[in-house]
Amino acid sequence: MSKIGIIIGREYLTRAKKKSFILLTVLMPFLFVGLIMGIYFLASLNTDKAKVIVVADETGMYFPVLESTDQFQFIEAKEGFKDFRENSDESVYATLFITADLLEHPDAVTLYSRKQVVSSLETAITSTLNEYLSDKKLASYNIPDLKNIIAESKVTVKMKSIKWDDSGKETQTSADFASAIGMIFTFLIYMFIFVYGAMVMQGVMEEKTNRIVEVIVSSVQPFDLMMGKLIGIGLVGLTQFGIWMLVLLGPVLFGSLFFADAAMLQEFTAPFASVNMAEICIYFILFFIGGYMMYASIFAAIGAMVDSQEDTQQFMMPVTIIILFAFYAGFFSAKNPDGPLAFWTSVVPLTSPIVMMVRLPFGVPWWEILLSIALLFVTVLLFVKLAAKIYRTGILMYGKKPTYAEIIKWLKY
Amino acid sequence: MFFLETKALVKQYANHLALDKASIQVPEQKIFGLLGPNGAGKTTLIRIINRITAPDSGEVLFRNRPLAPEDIYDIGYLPEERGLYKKMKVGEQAVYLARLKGLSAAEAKERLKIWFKRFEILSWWDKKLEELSKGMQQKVQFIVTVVHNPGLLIFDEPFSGFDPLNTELMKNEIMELKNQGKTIIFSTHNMASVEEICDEIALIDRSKVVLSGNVAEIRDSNKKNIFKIRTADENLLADTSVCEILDKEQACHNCIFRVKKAQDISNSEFLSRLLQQNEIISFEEEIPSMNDVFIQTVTKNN
Repeated sequence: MSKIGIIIGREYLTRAKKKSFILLTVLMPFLFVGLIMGIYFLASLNTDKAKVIVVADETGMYFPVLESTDQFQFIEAKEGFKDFRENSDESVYATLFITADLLEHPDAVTLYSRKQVVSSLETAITSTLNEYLSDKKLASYNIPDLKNIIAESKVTVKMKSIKWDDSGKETQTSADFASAIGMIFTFLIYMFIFVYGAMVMQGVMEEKTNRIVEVIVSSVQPFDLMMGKLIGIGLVGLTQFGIWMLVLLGPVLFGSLFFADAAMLQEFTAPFASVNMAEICIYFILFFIGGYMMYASIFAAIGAMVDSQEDTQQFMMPVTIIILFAFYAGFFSAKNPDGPLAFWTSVVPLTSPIVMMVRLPFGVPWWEILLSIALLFVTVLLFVKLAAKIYRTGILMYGKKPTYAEIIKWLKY
Repeated sequence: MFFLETKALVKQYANHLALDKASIQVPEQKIFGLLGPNGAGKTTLIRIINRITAPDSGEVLFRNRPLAPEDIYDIGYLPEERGLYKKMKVGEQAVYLARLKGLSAAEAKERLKIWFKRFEILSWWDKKLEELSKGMQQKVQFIVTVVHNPGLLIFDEPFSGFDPLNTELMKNEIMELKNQGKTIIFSTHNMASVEEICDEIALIDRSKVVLSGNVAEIRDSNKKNIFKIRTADENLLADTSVCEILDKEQACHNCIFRVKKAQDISNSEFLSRLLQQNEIISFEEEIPSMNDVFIQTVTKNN
């Protein structure tokens, strides 16, 4: 037992002490938020200067309505301007012709340009003209205050959704928030299984190709070495999760430090109260441990089977497909968290750790969770046992890549 | 009384028999050479002694009792294919490996520092392994093999990758370990070093132990009645019933003959017969080298 402890210690410390790990763990949440904000920022940037649109308005009614903005500058065409082709000036982006009263001839407006115009220009022109024209039409009815009457008659329903538990306690819910939280956790568990599973595989392969494994298994059982590696790397994953949760939930728990205004604080923390974050975190840890151990033991076996990175592809493929399937199943379960897809994939062990995360924020019957966890951990025991058999034989085998038939033979030793 | 003994070890892999009733006896405080062509089963035998793999049948006696799991702390193993963690600091991983062999962290560090100083690599303690030269990495590997002070040491090709200077250093270290009372199993293809340092050997070929015993005795018993005779004259006059001349070589004013003596006459009779007719300057029986014994035994076995 103390030997496993020594191995866990090495596996954990060599990774958790790495500068790249610490840096990535601390910066990742900020990078993530920064990335999203960066995209918004870039998208909101306007292009260099306003595009020039020449307006040839024969009626003379509409040009004053078209107001220039940061993006578009409307200028009036010279008297007698008939053919837009005459205008060879490159700085003109487009030419707008209005040939008749639009109330009578709604199609008497045409936009000419050399390049495909941006859709925001089309929208800007049509919505300005539409609004102007409908105002004008309303005015033609000669009913005083009609505009205000119409504005007043528009109603927006504000519905609250409340869920109650057995004790009758009510909590305000937000479906959007629940699925957002579900998606974040699903993505996290999916990413963790892949990243840390791959780390286990790399570690096993490193020891095998370095041949250090022969020295180590002359002092410890191969099973201890494999378990030490699985547990040590799993702990690195949990450490990372712990740090991220602190960063994410810090503002919620210590919100009063950031929000001076109590109302704002309430608004910010209310959605968090609607889903039981503590419960979800505990389930996350349970499902992470199960899912990680299940897949990492497969990855450990793969690492033991092969001599080089290239050879892993053949064995990785089926595993990758299953994990990806689980991820997509989770993605679609978010829309219907109580449907048959969601139910089955969150109970079947190979997909359950990933899919269950989506469903949890919506509330899942306790027996389903229990069944899912029980099945998962039984599978973990089975997989670890089988992986240990492959591992034990594989790490001391060099040379050619084993066939599936040979691997089945190893399982029988 | 043997320090380590294997009795009729059998190990069957999926497609071939790796060991077929292999029995070896390793005397205490001796250097035991484990020889054999590639793929003969040496590595399997060593792995069984190290408890890395289990035999299908047969047993291993260690200090006259069946080999037990705790005995691995009393064995130091230097595999043929060396390996350490490339990205890990040298000192750190040496301590790790020593702890896996049962030393406490503090004790491991203390002993390792002494060894590192002795091998003049102490200044590399905090460097990553990949920064060290190959020779230095080999030294580190040697140190982690012996640091827990085991009674039995197994060296698989210990001199590969060393320059002549370091080979000499290693050889001296191995002799020193023997003088300290350690028992050493030494697996190699280098027959010259076997003659130089081994007391006993076992030759494994095609899963079987085909030859074993004391090095001097083995060489002696493999003599072929071949003699090197230096004469003052151009010719060696001898009856064909006494010997057969295999080869003749001119050296300065003398001639060197290689002759095969007839089976039924003793060495002294052979010499006296020659002396009657020739002026003999030197007379020497050829003792086969381990290399010859190796090749001969293996080819005969095939």
